[in-house]
Amino acid sequence: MTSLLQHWVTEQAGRRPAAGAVVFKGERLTYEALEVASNRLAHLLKDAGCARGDRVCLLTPKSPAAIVGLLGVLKADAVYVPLDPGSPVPRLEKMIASCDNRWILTSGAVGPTLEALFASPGFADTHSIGWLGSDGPPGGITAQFSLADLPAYPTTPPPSTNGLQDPAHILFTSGSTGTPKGVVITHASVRRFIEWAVSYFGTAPTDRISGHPPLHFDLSTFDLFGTFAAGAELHLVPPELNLLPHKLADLIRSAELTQWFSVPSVLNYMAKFDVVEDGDFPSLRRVLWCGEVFPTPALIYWMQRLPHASFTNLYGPTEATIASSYYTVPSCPVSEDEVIPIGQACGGEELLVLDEALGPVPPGEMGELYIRGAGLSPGYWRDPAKTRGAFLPYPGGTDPADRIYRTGDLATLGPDGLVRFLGRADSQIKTRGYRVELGEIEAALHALGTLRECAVVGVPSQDFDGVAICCAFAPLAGTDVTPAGLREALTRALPSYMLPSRWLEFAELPKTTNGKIDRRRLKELFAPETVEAQ
Amino acid sequence: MTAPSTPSVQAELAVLFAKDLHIDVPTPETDLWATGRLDSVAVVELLLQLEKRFGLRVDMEDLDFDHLRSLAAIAALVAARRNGGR
Repeated sequence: MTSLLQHWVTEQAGRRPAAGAVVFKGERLTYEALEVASNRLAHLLKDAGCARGDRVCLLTPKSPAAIVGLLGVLKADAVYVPLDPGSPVPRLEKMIASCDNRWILTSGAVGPTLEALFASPGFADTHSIGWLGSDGPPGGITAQFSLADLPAYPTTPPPSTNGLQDPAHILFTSGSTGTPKGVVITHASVRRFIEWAVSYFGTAPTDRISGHPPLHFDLSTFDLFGTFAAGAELHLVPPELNLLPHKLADLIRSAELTQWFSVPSVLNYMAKFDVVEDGDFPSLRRVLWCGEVFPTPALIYWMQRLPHASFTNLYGPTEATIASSYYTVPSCPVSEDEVIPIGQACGGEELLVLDEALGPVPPGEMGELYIRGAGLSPGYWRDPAKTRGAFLPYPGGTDPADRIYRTGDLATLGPDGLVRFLGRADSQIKTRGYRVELGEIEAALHALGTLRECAVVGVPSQDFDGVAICCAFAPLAGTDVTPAGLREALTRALPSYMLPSRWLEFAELPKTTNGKIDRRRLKELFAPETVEAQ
Repeated sequence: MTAPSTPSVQAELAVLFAKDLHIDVPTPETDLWATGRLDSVAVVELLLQLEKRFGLRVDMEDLDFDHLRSLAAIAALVAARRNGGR
């Protein structure tokens, strides 16, 4: 009987063992192979002392082995924590330290990162590596086990005592004070969304589904378990293709994908370089996006070329698990100014547009968007204060389990029953679908010790990348500071999607009359510097 | 007209990366992708600056991943295009 996330794979392996589950760069794992390898890994982890509820960090680019890894962790009744292998070591260290884990499952070009992490004796004494590559780990790295050890373990699943309310994974997002926060996601929350989505989209075993986002991005949870729940085939998209829009189009054609799901910036990039032909991708039935606003001109570009496909906007923060609302665009927008709604709540969810006193605002008026329902995370990992600040009791409710999540998004609820996104109530921005707290970038800049003042603002870009991260800085006297030097220094503290792309140097930053940094003025100064591709 | 040698193109590209893209590249062989230096925004800016600084129009659709791997690879692409190759 299917109840936990991994049981979808077990069920498909029993029913259609030879069907393809995961495809990546010419490698293909069947459901049976995925089931057997992940069962073996679960036995190995349990034998190695991994107990129910233990956190296991995954530090690996996406690959079939990485998916074996996360399923193996779930089958050991443990919690997987996917980390960005491209993230700088100090940031990874913070996230791993907060997990209080022993095991790190890893593979790929992570040698220098592992060496830096394990250089600290305290870290090396308390952490162990499981190598998920088919080859051995890089020189200088000692792994306690590798995939080559799996055949010694049983092929059937180990006994499990986990229930639906147990955590399945922890996902880290940008934190405004400089420390990423971990969002705890339960089996039940993921199941709720997947069951709704498979039913709404009619996902079938014949589907070939894109796996575009990296594993540390919560959208990938939909790709993985949406595929497995339906017995479909997941085609992981090699991340380097993101540089070359025509290669992404080639992949959709050659793999005959039936569903594409990504952040809008990717669809926008493909539109900008006009790589989609009329009637292209004849197999593609569904195009979905989530994570930020998809500019309407690019949506029109796609809808005009693919009249055979449906187009759905999904919306939802990580804290409410994958997505909380949806809007399938009924027909190609006529005007480029048309605002595409974030729509209506997915099954089991409720969207509330509330005023400051947590009362509903009248239809059509702006309020802050709150989410209520089965997708809500239990809270931030070991951070009850942040959890209390973001997850509030349902106003007027009596059950303490009945909570609402404050998204920080501003929205309206129209008389048509559809919610429209209007912007942010704080300084968080979205860039290429990633949530970025500008405060985390400023904290990293201040920590460099070369700046007297700095401010980071997000400026809407004419280009495909949504919001451009812009940094205004005033160097300390006597320091030799250049934008390239600052950017290089920041790469040691922040992942690449958080690096500012536009820079302005000041002797002193512009101030408002009450002496605060004038961010509105800064946005105006950055605005004209748009980058055009052609 | 003689085509400039690849090393001088590399030096010009290093300036382009530092001044226009705000990206420091330690050596011509540094893997721009593996070290997180190159993303789609930088690729678009790179194509724009190749046209501005080198008068060289490179179409996105002619690009392969290997062309973008390092400064040396981009320099080789620039040199080949200047010599009329594709």
